[in-house]
Amino acid sequence: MAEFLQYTTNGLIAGSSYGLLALAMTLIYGILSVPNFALGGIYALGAFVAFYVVQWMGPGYYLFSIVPAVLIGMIIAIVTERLVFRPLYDAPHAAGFIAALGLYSILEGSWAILFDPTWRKIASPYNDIVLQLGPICLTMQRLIILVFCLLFALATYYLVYRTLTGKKIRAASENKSVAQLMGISPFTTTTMTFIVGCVLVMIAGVLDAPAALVGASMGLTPITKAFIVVALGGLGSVPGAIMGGLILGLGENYGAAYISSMYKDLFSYGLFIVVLLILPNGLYRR
Amino acid sequence: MINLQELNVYYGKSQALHDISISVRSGEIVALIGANGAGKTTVLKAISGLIPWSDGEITLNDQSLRGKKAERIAKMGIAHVPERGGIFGKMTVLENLEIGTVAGSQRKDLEQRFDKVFKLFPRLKERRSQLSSQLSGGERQMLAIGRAMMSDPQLYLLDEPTLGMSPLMVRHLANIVEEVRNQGGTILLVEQNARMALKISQRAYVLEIGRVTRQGASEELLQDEKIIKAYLGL
Repeated sequence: MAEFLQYTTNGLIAGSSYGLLALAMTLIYGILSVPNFALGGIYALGAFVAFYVVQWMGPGYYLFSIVPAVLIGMIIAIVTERLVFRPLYDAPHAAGFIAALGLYSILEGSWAILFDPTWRKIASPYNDIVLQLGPICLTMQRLIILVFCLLFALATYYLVYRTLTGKKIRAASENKSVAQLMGISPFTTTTMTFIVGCVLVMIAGVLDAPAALVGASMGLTPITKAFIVVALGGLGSVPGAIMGGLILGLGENYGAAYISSMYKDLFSYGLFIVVLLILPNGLYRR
Repeated sequence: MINLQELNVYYGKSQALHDISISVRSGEIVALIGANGAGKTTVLKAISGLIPWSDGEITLNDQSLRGKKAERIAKMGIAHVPERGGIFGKMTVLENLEIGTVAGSQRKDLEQRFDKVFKLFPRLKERRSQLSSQLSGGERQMLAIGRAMMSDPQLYLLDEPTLGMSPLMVRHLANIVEEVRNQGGTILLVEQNARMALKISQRAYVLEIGRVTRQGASEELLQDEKIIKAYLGL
């Protein structure tokens, strides 16, 4: 039982991080109908921001790195939306998809040149604090990942479902022309959605950085799994992204623990195929 | 209020509207009738900025709508209720109504605006927390009109509000359109149900293959033999 609780906790931590990335991807998918894999590059940038804040200001400032990450996320959202995606709004979705992949490659290459292509570790002060919560053992860093991811996911849920800005985003996601007839600018809502998405991904990068190695290509696997989560939860669905993230995290960890950790990724992709065979529209229809 | 002068609209190289001149004065219900494909919906889309036009002119209270985006035109006071309502099915009835306020100048008196709509459509009040996709066709149309009312527009563009409805529901919706007008609304009504449209409107235009072929007082058009044969099925 103690082992089961431990694996469940590990699964929830991994799942909350997947969920945050998937939330960003599903919001942007809702408005563009394109999975924006370039978010993987932005996730890596979030981790680099944490790395340099810790290096220049000291490990005590690790959590402070969320502040510059949010600001940089806002800027990169506006720039990439305006320069890369806006010119393609009327083009077929395949064009947006290719642009997203191209942008990911440009970002990954840029980080390798700007920040040096080697893998690095962040000295977060929370990595060394080990908590024993009954039978569950985890580092403070992993608790921070779980709590912050869930907090930001809830904040995003509130923004999307309870504020007028969120309702405008949902309206434009559902029908752009009718949204325009309601006085909603599709450009403004798309920029807003990109800002929310990029900020979430930057925060996920900051949170995951101490638990992983920081490098230019670190975003590819998490963002691919985030796409699986988005498809699991239902393309464009906010609750689906959160639930899908948790299910994937738990599935991976139970599979790794009770069958073999060698096949961890096989469980992710296997779960993805099984769910889509049973529910082709995902867990939550959009 | 609104004036269309010699408006020409093209879809690529094909001309959809030819020198259309239509006017709607404040407080009027004006009907635009015609067969399928005559260009009625295109007229409404041109006014609300959903399709571009360059030849001719459209003015709202003497202010040109040339080159203005749809969201800007909505904020100038034109509420376009598209065919089948265009409601947001994944949002609740209340959320749809709230979205209707975006085009309005202020959102302070939100509850009063909800009450105004619910007074006209009590059924929507009962279903306020339901997803709009769960509403019947008639209820969706009520919601679409109610949502348009939320911004307190100067002009309503109603595109076939009775499409696919039972005769009882058509009568109910006709009463609602008249009530909207009685509350100070001005309406340009596109309808295939010519009898209903001519009964509740003061003036009407007949559109055939993108051209206005007849216009005049609705009462007179109701007696016109050609109109009776072509559109009233007698």
